[in-house]
Formats: sequence, structure tokens, C-alpha cells
Amino acid sequence: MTTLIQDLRYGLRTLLKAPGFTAIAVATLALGIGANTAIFSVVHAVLLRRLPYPEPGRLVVLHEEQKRIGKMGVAWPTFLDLRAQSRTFSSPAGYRANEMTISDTREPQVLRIGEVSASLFPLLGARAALGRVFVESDDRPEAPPTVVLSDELWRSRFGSDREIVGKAIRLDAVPHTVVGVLPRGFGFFPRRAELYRPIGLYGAERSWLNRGNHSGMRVLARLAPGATLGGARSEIAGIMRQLERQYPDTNAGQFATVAPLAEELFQDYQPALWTLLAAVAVVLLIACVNVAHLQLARSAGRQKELAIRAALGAGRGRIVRQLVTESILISGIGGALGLLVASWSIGPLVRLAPTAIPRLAETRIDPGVLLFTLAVSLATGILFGLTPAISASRPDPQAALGDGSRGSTAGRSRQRFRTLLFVSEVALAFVLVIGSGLLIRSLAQLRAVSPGFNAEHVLALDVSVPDARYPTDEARALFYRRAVDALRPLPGVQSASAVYCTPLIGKCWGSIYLLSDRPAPAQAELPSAHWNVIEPGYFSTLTIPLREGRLFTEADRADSAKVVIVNESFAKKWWPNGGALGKSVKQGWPKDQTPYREIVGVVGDVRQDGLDTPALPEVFIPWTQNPMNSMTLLVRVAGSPRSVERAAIAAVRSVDPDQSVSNVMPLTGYLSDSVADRRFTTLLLGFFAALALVLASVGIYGVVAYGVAERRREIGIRTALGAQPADVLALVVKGALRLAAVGMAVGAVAALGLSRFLSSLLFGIGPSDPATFGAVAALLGTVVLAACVFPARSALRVDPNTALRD
Amino acid sequence: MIQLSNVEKSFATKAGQTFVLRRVSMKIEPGEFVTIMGPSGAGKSTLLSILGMLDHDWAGEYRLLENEVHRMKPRERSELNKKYVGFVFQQYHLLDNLTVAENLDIPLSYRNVKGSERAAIVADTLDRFQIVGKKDLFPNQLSGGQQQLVGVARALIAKPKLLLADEPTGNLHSDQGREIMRLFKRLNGEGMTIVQVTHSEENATYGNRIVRLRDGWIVND
Repeated sequence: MTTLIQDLRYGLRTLLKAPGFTAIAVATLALGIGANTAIFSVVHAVLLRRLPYPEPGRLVVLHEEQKRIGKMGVAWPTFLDLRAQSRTFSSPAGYRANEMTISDTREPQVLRIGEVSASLFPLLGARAALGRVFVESDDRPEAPPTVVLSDELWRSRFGSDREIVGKAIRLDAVPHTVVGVLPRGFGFFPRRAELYRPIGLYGAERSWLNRGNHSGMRVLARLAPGATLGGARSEIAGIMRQLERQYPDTNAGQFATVAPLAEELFQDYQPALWTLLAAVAVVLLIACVNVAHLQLARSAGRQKELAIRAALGAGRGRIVRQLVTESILISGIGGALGLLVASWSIGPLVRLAPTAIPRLAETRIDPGVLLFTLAVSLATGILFGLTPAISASRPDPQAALGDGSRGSTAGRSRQRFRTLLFVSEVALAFVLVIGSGLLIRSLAQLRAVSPGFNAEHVLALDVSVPDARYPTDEARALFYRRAVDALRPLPGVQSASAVYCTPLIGKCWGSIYLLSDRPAPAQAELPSAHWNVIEPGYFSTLTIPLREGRLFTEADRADSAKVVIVNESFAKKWWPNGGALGKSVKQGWPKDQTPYREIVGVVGDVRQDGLDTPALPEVFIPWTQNPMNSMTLLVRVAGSPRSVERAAIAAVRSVDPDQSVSNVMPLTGYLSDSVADRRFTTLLLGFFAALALVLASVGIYGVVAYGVAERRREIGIRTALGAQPADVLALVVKGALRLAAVGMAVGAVAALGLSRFLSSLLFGIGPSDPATFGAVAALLGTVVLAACVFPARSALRVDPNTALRD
Repeated sequence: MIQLSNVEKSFATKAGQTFVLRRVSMKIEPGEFVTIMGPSGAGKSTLLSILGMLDHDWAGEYRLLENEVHRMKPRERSELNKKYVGFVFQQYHLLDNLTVAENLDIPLSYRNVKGSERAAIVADTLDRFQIVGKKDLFPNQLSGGQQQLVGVARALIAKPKLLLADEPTGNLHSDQGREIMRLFKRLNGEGMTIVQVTHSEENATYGNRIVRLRDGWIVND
């Protein structure tokens, strides 16, 4: 212990004596460790931190699934069957997200609602802070509507009213009794619900009882004591097979997937976050390489000191320990400053990140993150300190204390180590820049994709009318008709329309269908399409081209012939040589009472699910023939969409003063949001790649400059033997480029192996995209050349006369 | 072959201008073997560097084989060096990380001699200096005398007209030193112009002219 304190004291004194070296090394490590701490704190908050529920590892989520459609919600009757029959699940709970408008004396507000089974709160170990949570008697169709408030809503909307329990609030114009308030911090959905209501209230609705054509929900359950995930999966598979036999019309081809809750919540964000953590690890490695080189250069200058220590009897281990203690001291200071860098950067990082990432707001430097930083700092100190220390611990006292150490073996081993550092630095930078390059190219490819409509100058406003005030199709249709009519005369408005499923928002209604000119396939083979409901002016407002037939008109009324328009993907899928017009399509299962609707037009494809997802077959129904509760109003204006925002909201309120309007934003915002995840990852990876390039270029400069300094005598000899400036230049640059080529080759092999892990983040290019590899090689070559400029100039200035005398 | 007129070299110091060479004028004919002698600090090595065009910071006139060196730019001077001059150093100055054969190859590589030709010339030189057996050894595997032998071979491989030697035997014991001097004598006999700097009176006897310097001045020629 005394020796350690002595080493630390001596190390600190040594570092203070070399303030330039210490400052550069500490700053380099602070950047590397800071970046790692910042990204790790996000990964820790989002992916690694234990879910705040009892035994979270035993919580699972269940979906229905069909091979052609993929994951779907679970039908209410199926949920009841599973709940009754499963022995591997204890207390399964249904849940789904919804939006409802609260209206009281204040302005109507659209709230995020969690519709949940009464068993959900006990399942998650949640108790009410005020009042109670739901009980079974609340979770029935005949029960009077009740709600449980989140702490946030209780504070923001109800002013922390402690007498709130038992009071009634109006949701979508229906009175609901508040039975409780949840504790602060409780949240379940990725986007926390502001208010919860029992899902069982829907239990008697006709559409809710349909096993095949339903809006669905998700099921959360806890594995029963002794049950395993595998056991639960096989039991559920058995129940689903039985339901398939029992209800072949609706359940054919349906199975269920059971996944751990954590996987369900975070799987979409895992590739990007792990990639970013890997990227900052590479940045830190490059920082380590730089500092290792600085250490090596410095230890070469300390040969005499180390030789004296050795001559005085210090063993090799003792010298290594002294030098590694100094390294750990540097990395410790770097780590402390890195924590500061991280604490400054977490705020901007979270603000930059897409809001959809769950638990992102909880990112902070907690004991787990501190432990990580401590471990990284310690490992960093050992990593960059050990090899130079071992190399320096072999001093030749005779050579170091005498005057003739030229060309010694130790010198050559240092040179080999430096070569290794150079090659590693280039290889690491190459891997990181390739990763970043692939993402940048993907984002560029994605941005070049046409969404199929013109989002410029369009304002979108979400409106949802409650059943209580608009109980009939006619009432709903009339409201939207009046709302669109109120928008059209506004100053600057060129056109206005309404749509159920706005492109890129991804809340589309997917459903199976039948065609009049084809025999109905087997249940499991029924095709699926997006079904959308639109006002006739929708296509012209978004400038979606008509390919064939006609658009909807005012003549397409509720009582006129049932018609649809399909997109090109739909038409080409069934009638590749044309002829879609006049055919009929029916939404739903063969036994459903839905009508066949005649195809009267074919329009261009729109990427409904995002720029990176090809357009799926889509069918449009005129709004008069299928009025919806929720629609998005679209307003095309001559100037900035924001300029009509207030007037547009006022226009909707002029139709119904109690009607709330939400998500008012330009359509370009949705377009931008649709690539937000990719943009975030690309931006951060690009930043880290740039940081890596800067660190690598500084490191390469250091290695080359040190090499030139060490070769002054050689350059002098060569000049005396006839070397011209070009020869000297070639000596420096060729050597660096040769090593860079080796580094790039190693980096390319590593990048080819590692870039496969980026596949899920790429669009329009493969993980071994030759253009990216070529461009990165050229970029890195240029960086190496740039890093050689100053050392090369100093090599050219070597005076042979002086060099040969030194 | 060489004509120096009033060549001077000085440094600016706090005390004023400090001269290393003062008004050095001399003529060296082709085939001469000149020895420059003098105490330490007399300017011998500086004069040799100027003759070899490794030092560009001087005043006066210097003609080498009809070339007016004093009017040339550093780049042109180094071209001239490449064409006519071979250097032998007291500390040999072999490149540690190159083998004997590779060391010999360096001057040729700077003179744009083709690869195949270079290999032949190196082989020929190794043979001529009887160091074929050492061709793959590194300098630190050779004795001082052997290293200097390679140094001389390297200086001569590009067939210079002028051989400049700075204390060529300074780091060798007397037998090795004599061997090198006999080699110089033989080369001079074959027509090579040699200018050597030495402290050794014995070495000077191998030449046919002695120029003595003191404090930068030629005191005896």
C-alpha cells in the first residue's frame, strides 16, 4: 500500500513535470471516456436497467400472428379463451393504447389513454397513490365507466386535487368516475399513458367480439411459478391450434408468439444503440492507441531514468508497475473529466434522440454508469499503459547511460510497436468510418425515395369525434364535411381534405379481402391490404396522381353504389396487364356481411408505412360510405403551413366548440419524423466517425512526426548520398501510406465482418457496398496524407550537415 | 576540378558575427589526394561539407568542374552532389535497418539506375571490396573496419569523380585504419580525386598535399 501511494505520488509529480503530454493524454481520454459514458448512460437507461416491475424477467407479451400479415393484436374472445385455459400464465391482462378527448371547464385536450384489464396493475405491482386501481367489477361491459389517473395528469390537469377520487370527468363526452391516482413515475406503454380505463368496457361490442375482423389488443402475462418461456410457448401454440379447429372461419392460419416484455419494448432500438456503443468503444480504442504512442515516445526519453532505476536494483515488474500506475493516473483524470463531458452531453443527446425511444428521458449518470466509467478508465489505463511500460522496462543500462544506443534491438521493438499502433489506428478508424459511411449512404438513398405524394405546404390536424356526441355515421360524416368546408375558404388555403390513415404515420387499417373475379382462397391464404377512408379531395391535396379511371366525387354518397379506388400495387398484383376497373373487392372474411365495392380508379402508390417500406396494396373508400371517428384533416396552403395553424384550429372549433384538435403539424414534419431514428443514429455515428478521424489523424501525425524525428540521421545520410527532396518526401509519405494500406486492408476485412450487424439499419445498399468502401479508403488515404504534411515538411528541412554531426 | 575563392562561413551570435571559415581560396586539380588538417574547431569538416554541397549557407565563389556552385540553388547543388560526389563518414553512417547490399544500393536508387543494373553493380562492388560474404548482414553485425569498408564501397558505387572523407579512420583501430588508407591510395592511383579531413599525420602521408586550417583561415597549403 505504501509503495502504491509512493508510486501514485511519484507518478503525479512526473505528470506535472510534463504538462503538455499530460494535457494531451488526459484530453484525448476524456473525449473517449466521455463519449462512452454518455452513450452507455443511454443504453443503460433504455436497455439494461431493470424494468420497474416485480420479477420483470417473467413478464411476457403475447401477439396473434399470421404468416402473410405478421404480428397482429389479440382478439378479445381469444384473450378470454387464453385466460381461461392457460396454466403457464398467471393473471394475463389485455392492454391497448388509445386517444380520447377530455372536456371540462378547460380547453378540450386529447389524452394518451391506456385501456387495460383490471389485472394489469397487480401484474405490474402497481398500487394507487390515491384511491384504488381497477377491480374486476370495473372491467366489465356493464360497469359504470371509471378511470385511474397518472400522477402527471393529476398534477397538470387537476392541480394535485387530493379530493379527485369519486369525481367525474368527461372523456369523449362520456362521464367517467375517477377511482384512483397512480404513484409518480409509474408508466407502462412506451409512450406513457396519461390516464387508464378498463378495457373490459368494450366487452359487449359487436366488433369487439369478432375473432377475425377486430382492432385487437396486446396481452401481458406473468409466467406462472415453475413455468418456463418454452413451456408457455408450446402451451399457447396448443390452445391456438384448438381455436383454429374450433373457429376455422376466423382463426385459420393463426398462431401466437410469446416474447419477454423487455424484448418487446426494446427490440426496435437495440441494433442502433448497441451500434453506437460499439462506435464509441472504437473511438476510445483510437484514443488509447494515441496515448499509448505518446507514452512510448515519452518512455524513450526516459530511458536514462529507467536505466538508473534498473541499475539501482529495480526489477522489471517494479518498473512496469510504476509506469502503469502513471497510466492509470492519467486515465483516472481522463475518466473524471469524461464524466463531466458526459454530463454535459446527455441533455443534448436526449433532445436529439427520437422521442419514441422508451425510457430515454430517464437517462442520467447513476451508480451503474459511474461503475462503468470507473471500469472503463481502469481498463483504459492498463490498455494503453501496459505495452509501452513493458517495452520501456527493458532498458539497457550500458547503452542508455553511455552514448551509443543507435540501432539497438529495443529501438527496433519500439518501432515494431509503433507500426502496430499506426496500423491499428487506421484499421479502427476505417471500421468506424465505414459504419458511418454506410448509414450516411442509406439515409441519402432514403431521402431520395419519393413518398408518392407532395408533403410540402400541407398542414395536418388530427381530429377524433366521440361516439357519445356523434353516435351515427351520418353525424360523423356531417361533422367532417363541415370541418373541411370551414377550412377551404381560409386565406392562403389552396385545398383541404381528410383522410383516415395519413401517409407515414403508420396507423393504417390492415385487413384481408376477397375479389369478385377470383375464387376465395383458403382462409389462411386470404390476401391483406391497407384500407383507407378519404374525402374526395385527398388525392389532389397531396398531388397523388390518378393512373386510371376516376377519383371520388360528391356523387359517391352513402346511399349510392359502393365504390373504391386502389393503388397501383394493388392493381398490378391482381391485374398486371390492366383491367382493374370494374372489378369488385370486399373487405373482411368470406362470411362477413361487408359489401363488394367496385374499383372505379387506380392511383399512384404512396409509402404509407415509411420511406423505407415499399408501398403495399391499398384500397381507398369514400368517407361517406364508411364514416370514421378519427380522421386527419389536410390543408394545402400557398405559404408556410404554420401560418394557417391557428385559423385551421379555429375553423374546426367553429363547427364544434367542444371538439379537440391534436398533433397539428406540417406533413413535412411527419416525413422528417419517419426517418428520425435513422437520422439520429446516422448523425451520432457520423459524429463519432469524425471524432475518430480527428483522433486518428492526430495519432498518425504523432507516429509519423516521431518517426521523422527518430530518422533525422538516416534522412541526413540519405541526403548526403544523393537523395533529392522528392526522395525524402517519398521516404516519409510512402512509408505512411504503406502502413495505412495495411491498416485499411485489416480494417476492410473487419468492416466486412462487422457491417453485417448493421444490415437492419441499412437501406438501398448492402453491408459491403463497394462505393462506400472505396470512398472511405480514399478519405482515409487523404487523412493520412494530410497527417504526413507537417512531418514531411520537417523531414525536408533536415540539414544533413547537422543531422550527421548529432 | 575545384576552385574556391574567398569562401566564408559565419554565424550570428550575441557577441557579433562568429566566423568558421575566413576567405578560403584554393584550387584542387583532378587526381589530387588532398588532406585537410588542423585543430578541432578549425573549420575542416565545415569546409568538407561545403565542398560536398551539404552546406548551403556560405559566401564566396565555388566552382566544381565548370559548374558555378555559388550561383546554384540548393536543389541544383544536390543534383551536382549526386552526380560527382561520394562521401565517407567517421561514424560510417550506414543505415541500421538495411543490409550491407541494401546500403550499397541506396546511392544507385537515388540516381535512377534500373533495378537489374543496380543488382549487377552492387554484386560487382561487393566482389570488388571482397565483402560478398557480408552482403546479407546488418551493420551492427560487422566490425568497425568492415562497416567503414562498406561505407567506402557505398561512397564509390555511383562512380563519383570526387571522394570526400571526414575522419575516415577516426573510429577504427590502427590496422583497420591503415587498410582503409591503403584503399584510398589505390583509388587515387586509379585517378579518383580525394579530399580527406584527418587529425592523423600518418594518414596525411597517403595523400600528396596537405592544407592546414586554423580558426577558419588557411595557414598552410
